[in-house]
Amino acid sequence: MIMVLFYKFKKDRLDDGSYVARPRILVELAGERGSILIPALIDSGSDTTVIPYGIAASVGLSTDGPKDKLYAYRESSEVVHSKAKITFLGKEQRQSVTLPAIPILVTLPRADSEEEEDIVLGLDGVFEAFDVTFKKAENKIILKPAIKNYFSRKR
Amino acid sequence: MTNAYSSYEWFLQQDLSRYAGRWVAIVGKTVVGSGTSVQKLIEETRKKYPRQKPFITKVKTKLSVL
Repeated sequence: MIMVLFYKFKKDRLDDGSYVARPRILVELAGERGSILIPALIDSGSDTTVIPYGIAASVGLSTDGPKDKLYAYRESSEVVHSKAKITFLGKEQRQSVTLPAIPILVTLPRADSEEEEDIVLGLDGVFEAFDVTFKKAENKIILKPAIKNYFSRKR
Repeated sequence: MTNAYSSYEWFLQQDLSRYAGRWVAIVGKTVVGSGTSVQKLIEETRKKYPRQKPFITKVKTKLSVL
């Protein structure tokens, strides 16, 4: 039986008083130093999953992989390639789905700023494992495990 | 419903804009800490609540493209 996972959009109040609804997926990120729960943003426009250094270090993810550069809208960040065990949590324990080694990029700390961005779940490894449906009008994000096996991009 | 999903559903309903730009840690249905360093926040939350898995999120109050 295929377990379908349901999540929602979170309404966030912006500085100007307006609101946006962002898709938030409840995941558990696990590493050698333990695990944390995160309502991660999911973005089909991101090539891969991105995790800030502070979180990667806290859970004990490897940060000694190949370095790279991540380009976003007008900005770029120094990153390092790694992998992470991410569990997509369901309402009930039995519904949860674990992806043991999702390719990720860890954004390296900047010398001039302590600021770190949120975790973003991107295409590689995630969108092969799940068929993802966004139903914003119904405030639903549906993750259905894909029937076929998937192939991660090799590094 | 698991405790984690319960925290998630509570989080979805909260206006956390007073923590604009900061990371927050949630245990159960309570914000237990906030800060600009997520690593420091996780360590502090683990010390105070060693038997709980910290629920960590960043409060984004600016219009953004991922």
